[in-house]
Parts: sequence; C-alpha cells; structure tokens
Amino acid sequence: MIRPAGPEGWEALAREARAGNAEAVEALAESLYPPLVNFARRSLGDPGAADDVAQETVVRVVTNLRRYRPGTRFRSWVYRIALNLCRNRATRHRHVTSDGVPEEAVALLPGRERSAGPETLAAERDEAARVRRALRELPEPFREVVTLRLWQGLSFAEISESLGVPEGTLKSRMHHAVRKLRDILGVAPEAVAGPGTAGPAGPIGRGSGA
Amino acid sequence: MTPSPVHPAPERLTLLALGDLPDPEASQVRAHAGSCPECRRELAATATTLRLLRSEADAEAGTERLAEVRTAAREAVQKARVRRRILLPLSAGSVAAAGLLGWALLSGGTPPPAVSPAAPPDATPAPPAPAPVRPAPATGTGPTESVAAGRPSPGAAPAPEAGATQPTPEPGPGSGPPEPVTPPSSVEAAGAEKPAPPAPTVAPTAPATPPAPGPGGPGSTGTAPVAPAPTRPADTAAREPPRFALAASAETSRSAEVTLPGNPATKLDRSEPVPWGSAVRLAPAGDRPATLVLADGGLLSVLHAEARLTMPSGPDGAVGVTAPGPAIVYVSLPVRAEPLRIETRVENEIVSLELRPGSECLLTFNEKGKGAEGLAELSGYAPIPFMAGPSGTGSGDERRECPPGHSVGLRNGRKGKPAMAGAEKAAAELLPLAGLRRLHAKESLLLVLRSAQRARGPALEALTRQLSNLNAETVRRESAGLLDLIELCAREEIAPEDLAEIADVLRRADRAGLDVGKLLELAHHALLLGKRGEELQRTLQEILAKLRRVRGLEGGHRGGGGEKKG
Repeated sequence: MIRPAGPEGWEALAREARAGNAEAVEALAESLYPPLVNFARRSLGDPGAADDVAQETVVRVVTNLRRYRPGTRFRSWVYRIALNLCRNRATRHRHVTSDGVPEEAVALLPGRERSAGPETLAAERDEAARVRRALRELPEPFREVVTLRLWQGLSFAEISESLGVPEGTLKSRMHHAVRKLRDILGVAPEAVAGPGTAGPAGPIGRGSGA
Repeated sequence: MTPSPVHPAPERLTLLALGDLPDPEASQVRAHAGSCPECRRELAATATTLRLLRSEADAEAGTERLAEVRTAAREAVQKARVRRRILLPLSAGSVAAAGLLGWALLSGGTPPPAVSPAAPPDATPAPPAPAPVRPAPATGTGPTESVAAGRPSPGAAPAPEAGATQPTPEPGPGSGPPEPVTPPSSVEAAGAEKPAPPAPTVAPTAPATPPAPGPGGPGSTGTAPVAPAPTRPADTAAREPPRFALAASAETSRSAEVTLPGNPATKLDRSEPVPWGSAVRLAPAGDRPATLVLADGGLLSVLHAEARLTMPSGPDGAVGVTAPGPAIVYVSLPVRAEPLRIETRVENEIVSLELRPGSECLLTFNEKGKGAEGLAELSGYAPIPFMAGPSGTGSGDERRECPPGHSVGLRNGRKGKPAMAGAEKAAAELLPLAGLRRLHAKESLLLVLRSAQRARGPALEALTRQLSNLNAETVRRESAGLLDLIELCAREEIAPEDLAEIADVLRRADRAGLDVGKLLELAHHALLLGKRGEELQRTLQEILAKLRRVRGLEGGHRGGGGEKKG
C-alpha cells in the first residue's frame, strides 16, 4: 500500500506512477489534491470551481506524467498546470460572489479547535474572510505569487519555473503584494520598539518547500 | 556586525520577513533594522501582515472528494494508456471518423453464398477444435459457422453454385471471374506495444486453416480460429484471451496485411489471435476488403484504403481505428456480442462510439481528418433510422450529430425506409469520398446476410442458403424486404425451424412467380405480431395460398399462365 506523501515525496510517487504503478497513481492523486484545492480556492475564490480545477489538475498531472522531465521541479510543473487551469477558469467565469468570500470556503477552514468558543470561531472566520477578501483584491499576478509562496510553500525558484517569470520580478511582486495587503488589512506599523528589538524573530511564511 | 547606515530596499525587508534573504544579507538588514526605527516598524508591519495572511489556514479536502479524485485519476490513466496505444502507432496526424452504412461495399460483387450440402455448416462443433482463441460465446456463434460453411467471403473468390441464377449486374467490385482462394499466408507480426499474452497458450497450436482447395470447394476452410471449447485451459484462465482473432483464410482477404509493430521477424499466422494491445494494419487489395473476425462473431473489415486497428489492451478496452487517409472501415457486431467500443481520433479529440450488439457502423476517414463533421454528415446522409445516444433512441432522416461517447448504431426501421435503400443512397454519397464503385443491391444484401449469419449462426444458415437460391432479380427487387426480415431474424430469438419455414416459403413463392414482396411484408408482420412455431407456419401457408390465388386470378385475367411448380 503506497501512502500519500507530502510535497517532498511527490516526485518519487510520480516516478512510481509513471512506471505503471496504479497504487502510486492514486497515492499521488491523493497527495496532490489537498494543496491544489487550497491553491485553487485562493486563486478563484469559488470553492466549487476550485474543487473542479484541482481535480482536473490532478487528472492532467497523472495522465501526462510522461511529459514531465525528471530534473525539473515536479512541484513547479504541477502548479503550472494548476495555474493555467485557474486562469482559464477565471477567464471563462469572470463573475465572483458579491463579497468575493464564499461562506463555504470559510466554513471549511480547518484547524479550528473544537473547544474554541463560538465567539472565537466567529472571529477567526471573520479574520479568514477578511484575508480572503484582501487576497481577491490583489491583481492576479500578485495573488499568484503570494499564494504559491505563502500557502503552497514554493520557493521563488519554483514559482519562477511555474510562472515563467524571473525570480527578481517575483520578489518585487511579492513585496508589493504584501504592502498592498497590509493596506487592505489595515495593519498599522507597530510602535517602535526599543533599539534591541530586531523585528520579527524569524522568517514568516516559510512554506514547506522554500 | 556594524549596522549599515543606509536603509535597505523595502523589498529586502519583505524578503527578510519571509525568510528568503540569504544569510549574510539577512544579517545586515537585521542589524540595520535593529538600529533604525523606521525599518523596524516596516519590518514589524510586514511580519504582522504575513502572520495574518498565514492565519488563513488551508481547507481540508473531504474524504469523499478525495476518493472521487483518486478514482478519476485512476480511470484517466487507464484511458490515457488506451489512447496512447491507439495513437502511438500512427504519426499520421488526425483522422476522421464517421458515418453509417455502405457495408454493401464489402461484398465486392460476390454471388450468393453457396453452401454445398457436402459441407454443412459447422453448427455443431463437436468435437471441438483446439481452441486457439477464447471459447466462443455461449451462443456458439461466431466466425466458426460462417467460415466453416465454406462460403465465399467478401474477399474470397465466389463459389459458383449450380442451379442458382447468378446475376449479371453491372461490373462491380469483385464481379470478375472466380479466383481461387489463396491459402492463408503468414503475415508480418511483431511484438505489440504492450506485451501480448504469451502466444504458446493460444497461438502456436491454432488449427492451421487448411487452404481452400478451390472455388467453392466444400469445407474449404476447415476449422475456424474461434472454435468453442468446453473449458478454458487452466493456464490460460488467468489471462484474458484476445477478443479479436484474425479470420480464417476464406474469410480473410488474401491481401490483408497484418502488421504488428515491433519485431518484424515475428510471424503471425492469420488463424492466430491478435494479442491485446497490438496494432494491426489492414489493407484491402483493390475491391477486396481485408477482414478481421471478432472472436465473438463480429466483423471488422477495411473496405477501402488502409486502416490500422488497435486491439484493446484489456477486456474493457476499446478497439482503436485510425487511418492515414481516406478509408472506410465496416464493423458489425452479432446480437449476442458484448458492446464494442470504438475509439478514433477526431482532430485532437478521441471520439468513442459504442457499437451495440446486433448493430453495424461504418467508419469513414476522410482526407483531412475532419471527423466530427464527417461523422455528423455521414450519419445524416443515411436516410434510415439510426440510433444515437446511450438510450438507443432517435430516428429519422435528419442530419444529426453524434456526440463523443454516444453510440451510433444502425437498424432497420419498422416502418421507415429499410436499411438497404439507405445503404445505396449513402454509398452513392460516399463514392466521391472513398472512390468506391457503385454497389449492387444483391451484393449489399449478401454482406448483411453474412453478418446476420454470424449473429445467428446455424439458425440463419438455412435461411441464408435458401435466400441465396432466390432469383437474382427477386433479390434485387425485394432486397429491402429481405433485409427487414433478416434483420428481424437476427435480432429476435426466432427458432431455426421458423426461419427454415420462412425461407422455404420464400423460395417456393419465388419459383412460383408469386409476389415475394407481399409475402415478405406479411411474413414480417406475422413475426412482429409474435407468431411463432405452428402458428407462424399456418400463417405463412395461408399467405402463400392467398398469393397463389391472386397469382391464379391474375393469370386467369391474363388468360392462363399458372404458377410454376416450386
């Protein structure tokens, strides 16, 4: 029984799947789908469409494994497919929900402790909704970078492969996106701490694959 | 480290917050931020924003959805494999698929099949021939009967039949003098893309079909490649045997070229099965089609030009049909066969046709591979009811597009124009496309007869034999009604005795110069009304008697001229 794997194990699964291992195909599909569906939800803002796009991406990946050239980043390849499908979908369905934040998406958010009180949950939902709304306000090229880097954990090099955009450009986009999000979310610069405070203690937003 | 007095680029702060700044630079920026309130505020704000963004956690995919995705992925991979097997052998771009009818082109002017009494149909295959392929379907029908009956095939030489009035139609395909049946020559074969089931279990001991001794020679073909076997050998039980078997000699065009990709040194005798997943190239010689007999009794025949057929990679796969240029492929399935899925490439899409048991279709490949249009057009050209859609509904003469994945079948209309009339018209439409010669009604009829015969095996054998003795002019004139009757017989469970009775009555009526058309119509009605057995027999006799009376009356009015004694 081959188990689904994290992003670091995708390529190995892909090799198995390409060799004709049916279990590996299923394991790969199961591994790919959750991150892809989250990526698509953030990109499209429509959970239903995102599910479809994620599934379609999975299907395309597993049926086109022969086209994947070992040596290139598998994740980049996967997300390039997903990006194209999202773009196609977005082109076809320009309409979005009125507030841009489908409630279903919020309701599906995990990581909500069952013990948390209703107020906490409501606040968190509210926060998440705000983030999603802010994300939707970003221009698509910015949103793609933020999504891929922040949530999908792709490195800039991987994003560069996926989007076909130089890393430097991507870093600029990321910076501008964060600035814009900061404005949208109303994050005020913190009060100046003492001279000994050197900003954030560590990197923020590092994903699994950075 | 001494903090740099110069503010770093704002982008650097963001990268630092993200953890994407290389270490030496990160230290510098961090040191600067430590001493620069403005940069520290900026960095802190960025970090807060990122934390906030990160708080929007991932959604979990539902388990049901995950299962759905897994299934979709698995199925997609399977389909992709099938498609690759279909398309890989061909680099010749896209091909078009289309259309119905034209099966008549197959017969190539062959006169009625003569079945010598000395060569009775191999209806009771006992002792069973060594089964080279899988056991025949439960019906016991298959190519066995038709092959063993020694009938001339579309591609085989006609067998002159004493006593039968042969038509002398306009020169048509194959209307030339009889040619000897060529023994089955070996054909080039090679390893399939996917290794086929090991041959030794099915192939080497395949009964080598003895060469036909000559035109019309009784039992010219000997055993068929698909002989019923009571049990499947244990060592082959695990493997799914090929669904397709090459036809035996008399049924196969002597010019049929069968090439399996891979090792060209491998020889494959025509009587051996075609392995799963392999490709077969069939090219007719002139007007003589190259034929592949399906193991369950169907027929897959390349009528014109060249086509490549890819065998399914497994029992659930589809047969792929491609052609490098204009080509016509005729496919028929017996009534009791499993539905056959045919996949062909239409431009960049795979179009799948599900052929139902008891139906036929004609795949027409045009020059440029605009198959979707061709499919719709050719279906529309056929002025007969045809099935479109999974439910098998739909009829009429209107132009109708068959969407991918839907079935296109062919059947006779109960009240509409029979298929034969449509066949001729459709064939006329196809002529410019395929460069085929005009058909003759009787040739068309014979093809359908053979097809029906495969479907019903020995039951229809007698009917076919009887009908082949009909006056050629009668056949030509009444081909529509005959086809109606045959189709009905092929589709319905009609006892052999009833068929024999019908055939006998028809023959008698024909020899007596009675109105065969009327007889066919009334017989057809009787069958449709469910009359069988003695009741049918009585009805037929009554019909015959009435026709005789009418004929007598007409003769009396004309001043004599009684019927000839049948």
